[in-house]
Amino acid sequence: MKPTNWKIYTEKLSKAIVELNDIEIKKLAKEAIDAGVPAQVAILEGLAKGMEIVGEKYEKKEYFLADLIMAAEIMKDAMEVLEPHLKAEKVPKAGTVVIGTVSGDLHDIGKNTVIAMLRSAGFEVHDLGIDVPVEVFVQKVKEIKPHILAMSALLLSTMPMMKEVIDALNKESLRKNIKVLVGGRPVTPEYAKMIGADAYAKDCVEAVKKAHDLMKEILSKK
Amino acid sequence: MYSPLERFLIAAGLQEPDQVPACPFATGHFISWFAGIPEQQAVEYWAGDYRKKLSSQLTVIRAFPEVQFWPGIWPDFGIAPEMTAFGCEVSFPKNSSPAVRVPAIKSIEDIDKLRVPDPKHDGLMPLYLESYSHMIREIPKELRSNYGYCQWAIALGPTDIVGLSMGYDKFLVSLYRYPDAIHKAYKIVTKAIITWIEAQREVIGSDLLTLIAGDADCFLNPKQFEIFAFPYLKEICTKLKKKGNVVLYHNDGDTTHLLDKLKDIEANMFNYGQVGEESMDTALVKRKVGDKMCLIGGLNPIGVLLKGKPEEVDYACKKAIFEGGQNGGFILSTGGAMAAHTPNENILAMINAAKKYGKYPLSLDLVRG
Repeated sequence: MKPTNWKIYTEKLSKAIVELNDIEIKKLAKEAIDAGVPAQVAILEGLAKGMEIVGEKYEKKEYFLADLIMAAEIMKDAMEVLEPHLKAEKVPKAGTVVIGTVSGDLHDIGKNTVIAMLRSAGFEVHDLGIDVPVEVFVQKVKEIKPHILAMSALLLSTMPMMKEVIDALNKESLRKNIKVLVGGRPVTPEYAKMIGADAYAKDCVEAVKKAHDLMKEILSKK
Repeated sequence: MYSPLERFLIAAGLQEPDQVPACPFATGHFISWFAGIPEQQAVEYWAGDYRKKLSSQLTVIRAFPEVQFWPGIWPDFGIAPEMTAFGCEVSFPKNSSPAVRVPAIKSIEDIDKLRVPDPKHDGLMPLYLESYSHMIREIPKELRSNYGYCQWAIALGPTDIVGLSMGYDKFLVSLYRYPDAIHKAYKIVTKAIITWIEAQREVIGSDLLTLIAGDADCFLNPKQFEIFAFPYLKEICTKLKKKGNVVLYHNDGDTTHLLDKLKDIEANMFNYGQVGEESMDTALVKRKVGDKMCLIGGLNPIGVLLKGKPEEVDYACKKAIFEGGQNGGFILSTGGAMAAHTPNENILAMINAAKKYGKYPLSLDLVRG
């Protein structure tokens, strides 16, 4: 099939995400593959495009958290069909992110929406979960060597743990190798700056933009 | 001269007291810090016995005797009583409030196993009730009669309990995929909330102020709120009101998108939340729900009360009173519980602003500008 005809399929995928149509999504993904659309194209121009629109609708308060989570779930379903076909293709990653909710904080809804949006934007995300001790953040940074470390906190009382993680990264001389992105209800741009983070995001949509910005900074220095 | 409780109740009845009441909203995060418990050891408060909670809460309310805090004095275990009673594994982290570590509902089929908990036997509910009865016995009577302390029954809202029982991700997806099962969960949880409030009433032994904490409702889109949360919230509020309870619905998130429906949940009072570092738009909330519910809020606990200077708090209070206080039915407070490190002078600025700008009839000249 000619690339110009791929659009029929990618538009259907994108529409299914935007309309939160989880019944059709696997069928549409399979149809795209059967019609010869490369999985990478189906993902980037179909699913990711759809997630981008969902993100815009969330920012405009046309969609709400439940819609965002559902869109990410539908994307996950489509990925089950498309991912096996990716192996043969070389897919460029937007970047690698290690993410977790800080020690003492068991809230995960914000973190999970950030993960969903980052993945839909092509980032490889390693989720450390909730209540992540400082030493686990450090250990995983050593092991995975991500481009970005992202931390979330819902509570004012747990927010200072972000600084402890950054201090620990400094101590281990790991800080200069990565960018740190922080967010969560009590976190502000001023606080992010004060603790030495590189960026702050107010929500999952902004987190993707900031992650892209951080990647540009990293790549421009290489 | 009204007592703080009289003022509160007149405003709750959508009337004008002598002045707009200022009622700070404090829970364990602020209370434990104010009482001198190091934040990294906040668990000493959250998991502490009733004496620890009572002495900490008394420290707070005695520092500001002019005003009524809400809820004031109660066995503050956060989300733990309801969530342990529903079979969730709840953690008490060293530096913060209790939270669900392992949800009770692991698959959608588990909803069939949900039962209305027995407050006398299940989870931390019996400890809560026992603690409450000790606190009621030990506080001076005038704290109950003048401030309404130890008269609050408190429960999480239906969306919060169902969401926390499943984990919010799974819950929000299940709203789309398993609506019947979710309705089933809401029905059981609704019965449980009413039973839980009644069990607290038995201990408290008087007409009640009831707080329903429905923060998670703000995750839903308007249609989901109407289909899932609304009927159950309305059932809870209607039943409790019939029994003489004054029902306060709290949501510290942004519920702007839900206001058209929220106005009909039949609560007496609405503690409205925040948008980022600001309060929700008080004028809009007043316009949309002000004829049905007394509004309590208007200040962002972090952006204004924690981080602002006293003159900024004063201005925010003036604005909130101007927008919310017309024709009564307004209480100046924060849209979520105050944070640790909130300066005393900011709390005093709020109390003084209510006196300065909130005298009825409101002077438009005074509050303008």
